[in-house]
Amino acid sequence: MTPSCAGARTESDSAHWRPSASLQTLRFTADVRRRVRAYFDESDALEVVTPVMSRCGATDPSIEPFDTRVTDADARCWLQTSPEFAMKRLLAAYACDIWQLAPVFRRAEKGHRHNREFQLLEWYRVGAELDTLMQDVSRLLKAVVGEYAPFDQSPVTVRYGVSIRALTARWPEELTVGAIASVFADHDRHFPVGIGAQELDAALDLLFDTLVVPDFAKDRPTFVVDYPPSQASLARLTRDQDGREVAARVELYAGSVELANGFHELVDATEQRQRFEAELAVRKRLGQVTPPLDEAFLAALEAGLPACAGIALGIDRLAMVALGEPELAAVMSFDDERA
Amino acid sequence: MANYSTNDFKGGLKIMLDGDPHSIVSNEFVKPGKGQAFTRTKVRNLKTGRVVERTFKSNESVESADVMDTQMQYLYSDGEYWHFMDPATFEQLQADATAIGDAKLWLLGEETCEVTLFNGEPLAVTPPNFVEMAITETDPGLRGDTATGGTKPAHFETGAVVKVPLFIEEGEKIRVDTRTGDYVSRVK
Repeated sequence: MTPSCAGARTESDSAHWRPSASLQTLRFTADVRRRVRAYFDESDALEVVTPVMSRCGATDPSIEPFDTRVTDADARCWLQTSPEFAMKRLLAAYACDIWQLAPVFRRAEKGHRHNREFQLLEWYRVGAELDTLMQDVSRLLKAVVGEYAPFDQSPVTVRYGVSIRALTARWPEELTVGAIASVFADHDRHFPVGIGAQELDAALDLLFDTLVVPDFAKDRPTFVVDYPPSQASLARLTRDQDGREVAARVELYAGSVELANGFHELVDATEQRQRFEAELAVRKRLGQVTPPLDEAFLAALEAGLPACAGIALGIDRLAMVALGEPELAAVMSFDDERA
Repeated sequence: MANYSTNDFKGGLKIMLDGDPHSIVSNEFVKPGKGQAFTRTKVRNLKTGRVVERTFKSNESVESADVMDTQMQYLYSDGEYWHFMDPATFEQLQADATAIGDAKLWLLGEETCEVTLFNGEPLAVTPPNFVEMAITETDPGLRGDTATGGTKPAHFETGAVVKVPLFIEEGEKIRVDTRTGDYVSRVK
């Protein structure tokens, strides 16, 4: 909930102990979890539980982790922003398909579709590549929410670079922040002055969200593939069908709601360390907290992560979309405002 | 002057953009899971009334606008300015034609108005939701016609024109909703 929503709430403060979801909705979300478990049981993935609290935190500059230290004497721990690193250590050790539904925490993410604490459904398939992962996701959607639009239809695939090119006549990596700003002007949309010339990926994020995502199909889910290498995150790099270098990354959308992000996972420890260090350098430059590098995760990569693909899906948003609710709070027992 | 971060944004917050005071109409947090966070807003320019889209990078800082709503009593107009008085301090202020806008159509004297001040100067005037005014000119009343629902224009000293039922007579006092400019009732 944004502060404006909280302000606009008409119920009295004395009713604030009440849940934000109806009993009917809670029954629905319980059924979603039951079906998820059945899906992974049937497809031979092992349910795991990993620590929510860890000595190391995410270094991605666009995600702000919570830390747990209350006094200087406390050992500093970090609440997970995703269970990815711990799950990959399990993969390196045991090389079998695993899944979990885990609470994750991200500071400063509050809005109609954001809650600081939410549930990620994260899973990994050993030996899978991006297209087999996408088929897996399609089967899961059918099994879990297949009766509900837009999940009653098979997903379509949109290529990130191609859609940016259709809009700007250039590939993402050929664009500049200035060129993107003039595309906004051409469409009579406002471009923030705060985006500096070196922040091409931030400008691309906004361009994609403002002028590409709103045109996604409403009656079926959308997979987005072929992200530029600068947005690889933890994905390995590959070639698209035209031979261009792209990230082996996929995002799932339902209409304009982002639901999941998956990778054909990077298994190269050296490259992973370089990406982490580059992220930490950005965090330092922007004055953000700098959690320690997860050396145990890097050691697991060095020992050998099996070739695998994995994806994290926001299960609260999945329920929100299936029920046609405009706000995340409607599918959570207690949203941030009531937590 | 204080600054606001995008985290402080909420409906009604007054901020400075391009040198003009604006009020936030709505705001939405936008962020891809793996990307930059933005706040997409609709803001109303308090000088022109125009609503436009503005997008901010998260944590961008924006100057607050020194905008304040005060209750003031309307005194009179000299043709160029409309004069108001703070009933507590007896301090007087004058609003120009831009600031008074359409509010001038509903002011005869002594009405308590909401005067929006920007840097201490009147920026906008909101008249009371309901005012009572006497009709200076209208077609003769159709006695007893309370059923057909027909209307006719009625003119007022202030220049306002209100559609009134056919049975209303010239010289009668009526109650008007200033937000819509609609006739509400006869005042006995």
